[in-house]
Formats: sequence, structure tokens, C-alpha cells
Amino acid sequence: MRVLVVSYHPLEGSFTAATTARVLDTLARSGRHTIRHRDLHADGQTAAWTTPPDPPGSGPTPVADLRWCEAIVFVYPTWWSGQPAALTGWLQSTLAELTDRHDGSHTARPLRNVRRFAAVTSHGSSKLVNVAQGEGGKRVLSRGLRSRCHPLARMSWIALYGIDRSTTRSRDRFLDRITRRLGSW
Amino acid sequence: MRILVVLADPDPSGFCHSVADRMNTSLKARGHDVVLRDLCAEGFRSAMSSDERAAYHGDDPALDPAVRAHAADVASAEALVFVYPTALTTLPAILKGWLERVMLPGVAFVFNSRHKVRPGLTHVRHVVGVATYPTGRAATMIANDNGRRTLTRALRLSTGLRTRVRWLALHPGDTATDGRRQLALTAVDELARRL
Repeated sequence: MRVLVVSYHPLEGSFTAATTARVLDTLARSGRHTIRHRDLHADGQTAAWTTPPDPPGSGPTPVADLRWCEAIVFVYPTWWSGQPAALTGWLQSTLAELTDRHDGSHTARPLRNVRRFAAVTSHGSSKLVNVAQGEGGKRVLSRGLRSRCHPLARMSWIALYGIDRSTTRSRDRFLDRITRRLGSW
Repeated sequence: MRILVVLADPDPSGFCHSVADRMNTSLKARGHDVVLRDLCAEGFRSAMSSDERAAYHGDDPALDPAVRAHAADVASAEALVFVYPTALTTLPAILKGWLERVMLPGVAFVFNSRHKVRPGLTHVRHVVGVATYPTGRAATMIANDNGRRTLTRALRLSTGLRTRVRWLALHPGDTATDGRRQLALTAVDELARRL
């Protein structure tokens, strides 16, 4: 599969960096995928509503990435019950660009090529608190994004809750969970 | 009452600008002390920088003067009013970024000794939202209205559950014609009257 990995965390030594490394390693080991990795922090994503067009010769744009892939893995920390603003902005601006056709009309499913996607994320608080908050981050992907993908697109939710009170052991178990869930892709 | 109105509409011709203006004049006419913050016009940076993330759990997490000014507005506000257009079922990125960068530990919440989050916005008695939606009522409900949940549930864990929430949802039909838009602005007046 052609897999696009979109990761975001502003700090280099973060747990998200470790989960991103595990995601990339797991996908590479299976030998079945072509992988593209975009690190939104390294790419200088400022989460404006619309990103200025990339200068020519700077490689594939976010729009080209999304058109190219068959599967996406998002790796990010959950802040204020949802995706960080940088990832939200990346999604909103590229989707807006993909949705509007040149003749002024719109396409309902600009990501028909995407049949599978996963979210790998960590929450500071517990699952219970996140449910009380309405699980906004999960629903943005499982309802908002999925409605723009292939009608049969499936989502995998791979989440670590309560990272503020986690231990080395629980974090290791989470990394193994990533290997299990994404290893079968 | 001191009221902070936060407008986050990246489209300069968007209807949310009219809503925020109307809210501002209507609240001022009733003698409230209103601060209107237009995030896009200010050029508010939405992504948290590496330095800001590194300082997040420290003693002084507000590094940017713009963030400090916003945090001061929040600290003195008795009501928070949010005006935004819904995108991909949730808040526009710039408003999400405002939450992340301004609603810091010490401003919006504090961590107790067991690393649990405790409310820090108990002075906020009202949370008001006016959101426009690209979809109808049913589709918005199915998508979980994540922007509203973020502001009325995630943020409300910081204000305390005694805080009143009022929400005005404007679906495409509500802003389709001039007449409908006038009606919508009348509803904004009504919201302002009830504060």
C-alpha cells in the first residue's frame, strides 16, 4: 500500500517522536508498503487556514501527498480533546484545496483514493474524561475525515490515555500495540 | 460585565465578521465592558512553538507578548464569546491554536499534586458560541459538532459546570438570503440581551 504518515509534535524528544519512529519501523518491516513521511513541525506548518503554495521544486505538496496515498497514519498528541492546531490547519487547508474544483463546483469525496487510515495519539487525561469532553478528536477523523474518503474506508484508533500518569511499562505496551495493529496492514 | 469576544474567521468576507460586530455593538449598548479579538486580523500564530511547548509545564508558560495579552483578557473576563465558521466538523485551526497557546496551565487550569487537571476559569460565568456550519442540522449532529463539544465540554471542565452555556448554530439555510441573515443578527441581539 502507499502509506502517508503525518506526524506532529513541536519537541524532538517527545513520546510522539517515539511513536512516530515505531509507526515508520512497523510499516517498513512488513515490506508491503511504499511510505511517505511528513513531519508538520519540521515542515514549518504554521496552521494558517490556507498555506501558501509551495515554491516550485520543493517536492510534493500536501495536496499531492493526499492524492498519492491509499492509507494515512496520523501521529499526534491530543490537546484540548482534539488534534493540535498545526495538524487541524494542515487538514483543513489541504481538504479545502482538494474539495474546490476549478470550475467553482465542489466534490463531496476528494479523498476517494484513501481506503484506510489510523490515528496514533496520546491523551493527558483518562478515557472517561475524554468521553465527557465529547471525543472531538476521534470524531473529526472518524466522521469528518472519513466522510471525505472512500465510502468503505476504515479507521483504526490507537490511543494511549492518561499519559500524564503513565509508566515506562505502560508506554512500552502502547508501542507494542502500535506494532500489533499496524503490522497487519 | 467584562466580556471577551473571540472571532476566528479566516474569510474576510465571512458572515462571522458581521456576527461579531453585531455582538460587540449589542453588548456595548447594554453597558458591558467588551473586548473583541479578531484572531485572523491580529495574525495570531496558531501552532505552538518548540520553546512554548518546552515551557508549558514550567512556571512561566506564556512566552509570547501576544499570548500574555490574550491571557490577561481571559483572566478578567466573566463571559467568553466565540464566533467561528465550522471546518471539517470542528473549530478553525486558528481558534484551536488559541486554545492551546492561551489556555495555559495557570490561566485555564492547574495541575494538582496527583497530576489531575483542576479548573482555573471559575470566574467565567458564561460561555457563548455562535458558529456557522457548512452542513445542515442532521449532518452536523451526525458529525458530533466537535467545535461545540470542545468549547462547551472540554473548556467547560476548566470553567466549572456552573457556567452557563448558550449556543447559536447557523446552518446554510439560516444565512442563505439577506432576510435570513438579518434574522440571524436579531438572534445575536437576543443572545447579547440574555447575558
